[in-house]
Amino acid sequence: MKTQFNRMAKVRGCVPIVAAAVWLAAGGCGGPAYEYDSVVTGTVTIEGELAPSGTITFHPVAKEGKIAIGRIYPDGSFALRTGQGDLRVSDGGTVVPGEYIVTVVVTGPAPAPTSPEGGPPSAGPLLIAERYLSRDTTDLRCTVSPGDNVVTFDLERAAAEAPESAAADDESTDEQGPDEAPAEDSAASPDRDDRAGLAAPSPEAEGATP
Amino acid sequence: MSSRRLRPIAAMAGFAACVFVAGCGGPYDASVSGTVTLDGVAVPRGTVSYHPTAPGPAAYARIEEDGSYSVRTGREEGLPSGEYLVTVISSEPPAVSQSAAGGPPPPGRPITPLWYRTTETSGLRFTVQPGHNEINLELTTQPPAGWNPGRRR
Repeated sequence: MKTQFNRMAKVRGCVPIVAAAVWLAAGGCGGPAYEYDSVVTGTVTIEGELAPSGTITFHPVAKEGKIAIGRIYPDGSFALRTGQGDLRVSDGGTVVPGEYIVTVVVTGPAPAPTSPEGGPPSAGPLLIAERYLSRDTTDLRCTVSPGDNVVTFDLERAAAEAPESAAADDESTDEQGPDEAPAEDSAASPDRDDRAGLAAPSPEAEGATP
Repeated sequence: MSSRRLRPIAAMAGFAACVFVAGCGGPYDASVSGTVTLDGVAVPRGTVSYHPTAPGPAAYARIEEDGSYSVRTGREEGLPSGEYLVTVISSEPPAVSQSAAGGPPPPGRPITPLWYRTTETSGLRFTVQPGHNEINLELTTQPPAGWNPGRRR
């Protein structure tokens, strides 16, 4: 390794300062982790549409694991960090490899920017099914491998007003063209009978394993 | 010439190169951008999804107001080159941000036809080459042959 070290130093220059580069760039371009072994980024969609904002949380199954959290950006993407992550990079953080239970919160824009009293803004409406909020009820799981992981989660939309969804049950014409019925029905229909259960689309946990 | 003395300089140069690469290069060898139109008119909002036919994560793009889109994988620009099945979902914004009961907003009306929502029915299949790809998605309101709205997939 030492002799390679010298040769590489001339050719590519990177090898001598890998540690320094990682120190600066952890999470930025993947690569070996700064603090833990995995980098996890991904995308959250709601029945195929990009989630507009929210938070995704990875709860370790193993006791010795560490919880990892990511903000969901307006393009549906997220990057996880553990604790405060690496504060030297704007969007960097690393994750302990292992099995995780995943919870997600996706909210729409708040109806009013602030409360009448000038207090904090009220939360926007929840856009996804409630089961994703809790570690006890979510059916999302993810295996995080060492190295870079890109994972996507397609979530079920929050149930619309009860009368609508009930009426849609027997409709066979709810997948018409763009001028027809609300979109909500099409994506949910294959799983309609299972909506209360756990059979809804499981995460496409497609770890881009090394 | 003393390579021993030059080594720190080489290391410094390498250091700069690494930071530069980390800052601007993504891990993917291809990028895709383009415009989404429906019967020739730009689609002003929505989601484009690139699902690889080989195992791997899907790549996504938000459609901008002028119909343009640019694909990302996770937080990174671009995607791996290869074969992709593409879907487009675009809906009007919900009429209200909250239902009367304070619940979630009802979904908006679809802008793009529903057959573009699934990889099985969209008919959009592309080979993404290494480097930059411009892929314009020219959607039509003309249903594909065999499209049966009542049929469950």
